[in-house]
Amino acid sequence: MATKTIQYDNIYLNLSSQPGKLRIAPSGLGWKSSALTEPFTLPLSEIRRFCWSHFARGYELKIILKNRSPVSLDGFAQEDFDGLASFIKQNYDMGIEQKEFSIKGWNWGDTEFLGSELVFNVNSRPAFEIPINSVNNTNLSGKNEVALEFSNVKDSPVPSAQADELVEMRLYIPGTTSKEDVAEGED
Amino acid sequence: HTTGVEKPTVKRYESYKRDSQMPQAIGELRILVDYRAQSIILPIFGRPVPFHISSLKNASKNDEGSFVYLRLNFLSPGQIGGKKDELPFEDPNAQFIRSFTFRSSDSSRMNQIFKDIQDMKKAATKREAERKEFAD
Repeated sequence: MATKTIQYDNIYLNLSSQPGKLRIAPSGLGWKSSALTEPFTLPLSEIRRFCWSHFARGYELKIILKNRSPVSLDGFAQEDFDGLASFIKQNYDMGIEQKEFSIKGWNWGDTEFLGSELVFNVNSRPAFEIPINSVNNTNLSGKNEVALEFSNVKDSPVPSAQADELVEMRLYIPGTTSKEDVAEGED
Repeated sequence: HTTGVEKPTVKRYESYKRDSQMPQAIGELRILVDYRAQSIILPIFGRPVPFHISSLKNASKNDEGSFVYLRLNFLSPGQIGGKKDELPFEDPNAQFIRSFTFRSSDSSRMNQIFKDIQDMKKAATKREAERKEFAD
């Protein structure tokens, strides 16, 4: 007999300060914590795909949704992957994409838009992801410079663990003509 | 004058090779200074992202009301006072993170982080200067 649900204790929902219990059933997911009166639920019909990566409090299962921002479930152990992957395969007929992030410590790379996120890649690996709905304002702050201002979107029903909040990022973007300009300037 | 033997090479540095080398404290989702890896770990939308001290240009701190703003400026092309040999110019199309600004209400911890970053940068700059001196 196959198990109908699997449960994980000590899982953090969307960077919550307190952990809760995650239950995964064939119909979808539920997360329960003492901080909530009603559990947070996610029906299978909203789920587009799953990603897995090393994160702040262990490993993160990130759920990319069809119409909303992704959901973050952090606090898994590395060994949880096989059980999760086989349950999701059996019940949802979906895979889990395993992502390795850059931890090189470099500040150069390239950006790309992936779904509802802006990804900064270093050496062909993602280094971090910015939810586009947290970008409050953008402006050209100098020659080849773009500034992104953030507001922390409080779409999570639970208190956040984030004490240090990213409010601005500035990016240097090389211009399409600047290569020639630079070459001329160097002569 | 240099002999011409030494070509400006891309400085290779790497904060971590494996996830397991990162400190346990990343779970606190706060800015961390890791001397062992000569790196600053920044919580970017929950993800701990390291930046090597060699990528940092300088840091500044501002108190505004009950908040402390910490700005980290990184080395990038087209900056005043920037040195070419500090930049990995292998890819002319590379984009650079020029700065991150963080806000926190925990002023004493932020003051300590600011001091730690400055100390680490000073020590790294000094080591680099010594290395260059001995290389001549």
